[in-house]
Amino acid sequence: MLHTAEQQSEFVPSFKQTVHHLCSNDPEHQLGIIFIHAGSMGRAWEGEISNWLKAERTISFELMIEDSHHLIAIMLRRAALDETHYYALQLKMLLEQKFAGQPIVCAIAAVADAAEIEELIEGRLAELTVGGAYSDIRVLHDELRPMDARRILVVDHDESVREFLNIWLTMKGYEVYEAEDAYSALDRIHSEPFDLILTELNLYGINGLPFISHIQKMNLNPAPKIVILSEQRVEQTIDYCYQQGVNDYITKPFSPVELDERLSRCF
Amino acid sequence: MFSNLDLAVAFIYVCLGLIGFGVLILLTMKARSIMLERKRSALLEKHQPYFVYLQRHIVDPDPFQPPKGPLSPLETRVIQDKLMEWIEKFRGAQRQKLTALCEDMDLVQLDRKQLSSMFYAKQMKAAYRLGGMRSAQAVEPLIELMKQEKDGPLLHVLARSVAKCAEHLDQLYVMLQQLTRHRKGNYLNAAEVLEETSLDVTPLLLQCMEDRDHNLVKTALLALRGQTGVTLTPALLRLADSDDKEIRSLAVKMLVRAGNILPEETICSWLTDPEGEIRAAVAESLGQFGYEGSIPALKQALTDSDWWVRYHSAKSLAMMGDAGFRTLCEAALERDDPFKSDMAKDRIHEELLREHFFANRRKQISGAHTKQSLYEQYFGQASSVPNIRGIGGDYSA
Repeated sequence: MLHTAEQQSEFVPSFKQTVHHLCSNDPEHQLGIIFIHAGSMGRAWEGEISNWLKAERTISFELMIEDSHHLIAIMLRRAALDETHYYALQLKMLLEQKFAGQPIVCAIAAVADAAEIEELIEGRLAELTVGGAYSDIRVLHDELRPMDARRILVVDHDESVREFLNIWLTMKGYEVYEAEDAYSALDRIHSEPFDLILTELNLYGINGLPFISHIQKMNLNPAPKIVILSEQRVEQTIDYCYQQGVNDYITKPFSPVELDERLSRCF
Repeated sequence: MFSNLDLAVAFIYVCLGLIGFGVLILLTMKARSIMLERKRSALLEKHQPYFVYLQRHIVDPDPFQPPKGPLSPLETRVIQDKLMEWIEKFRGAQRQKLTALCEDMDLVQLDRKQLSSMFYAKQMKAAYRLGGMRSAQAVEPLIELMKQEKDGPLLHVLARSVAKCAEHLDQLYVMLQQLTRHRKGNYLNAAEVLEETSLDVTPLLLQCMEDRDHNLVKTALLALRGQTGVTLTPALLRLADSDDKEIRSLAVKMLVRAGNILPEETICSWLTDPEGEIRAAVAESLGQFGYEGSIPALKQALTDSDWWVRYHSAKSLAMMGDAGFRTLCEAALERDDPFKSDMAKDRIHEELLREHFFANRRKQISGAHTKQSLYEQYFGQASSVPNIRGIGGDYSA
């Protein structure tokens, strides 16, 4: 099924109506939605996307185009967020192969009812129709950060740990900042307030224990909570950290679910 | 003469040619390595959205979808490296989910095939990667290769990988047998390798403690070092009488450190063991445990013929509070054995210096100088400033 709405004013009600219809037809499952900013290539991409999804056969879909802002909306029946994300990846790759050089900007969501999608796209449709210079897949749920989001500074020498914590904690509604070593972390702490500092003990330059002591000597008001996420598992070190007033100590390898629980306990 | 000069010139040309050829090879290798690194960076960038997808949905209940479309061998390895990196960082369900993705992408199968390669380097890399993916599917071929392999780096990599992938204790038991069968000293490595497993190895270690193979017993004792449960005591007491001195030493150390209330005669019997190493280990462990009932035995051990036994006995006495320090002072004043008094003086000196140093660092008040005041009770005020020449010491080691 293919809908075309010439104007955004027509597109939005029509889109919401379709979402409402699909959600109410299948209340047990989520509806995955992929928005693709198509620029001037809307019509060319639409054909490619439609053909690819039809060839997939494993997923039932609806496709809508908002011509004035070149936005393509794909609704995937019975698709949770991870599946929607995966399809968005495939579509992005397909378009990149077919239309080389064109940055592909997608936004994804998975909703259980029409009210949820209303909340997700309320006043953001224009934002979704603005293409970026780089290819990207944005998860709309992650961008709904509360105004009073807690600010966390992640200090770790390992880039992959920082990257994961940034994705994971942002997803959990925190505002995440990164520092590679204690020096740059101290600079940041001097210049801006943080609610929590999540740090490794093995750091370049200043090691973790003196780093904690530095933070405590700064007499910040309010003092940030300090949580250690470290490879060090020596009992004496853990005891020492607690004696120094650290709020929690988590050892690597870690479980993201447990990390989230223990961080929320700190506030 | 001419012919010799021609020969020399020809030799120089050959050398220059060889040097040039060597430099060319080095430059080619360097260029290849730079190119490979660039390709890897480009591939990492290409697959970054896929990596974000994996990280974003790592706790979702559904399994990960493998990347679609054909992947080049290098692309496969780049993704595999990233997955292995995460497998080491996460635990529990998240780790299992990543391992399942490796299996779905046939990465485990690919490296299982590589295990039977004719090239040692390929086998080594495959063994390492199979361990990194922590897949149970890899255990059998890894153990099979261990059985064929001689002692060497590959055997150790295989053992580590089995420890990471094992899902039953039996598999670990076979791995330990294979690892320790070649060389006596491999039990040190075996105990360390066991730390890689995500299984609870306590039942296996208890079983190994009963084993006839001394290497397995030593592995178990080393791996259990941190445990202090009294349930181990009966087995440890039995091993404390073993013929093997290393087993005796490890068992005795564990018994003392576990904080068991041990009869004085038992401690005395260990302190009279024919092996100096064991006597020293007992003396050292008594100090770490701080069992004051052992003070008389430790004082007696100050007269031991082995320097290490005397050294650890003195050190342990110093760790046992006022009573231990008083015993050290008494031993320093006794004249029946010069080795005993010298070692006691040496330790007193160390302790006073340490106290002095920490008192200065912490700006403590003079009332906190307990050892200093005890020392003055025995040696008088005039001797209160220790100096090594005045006090002496046991330097017979």
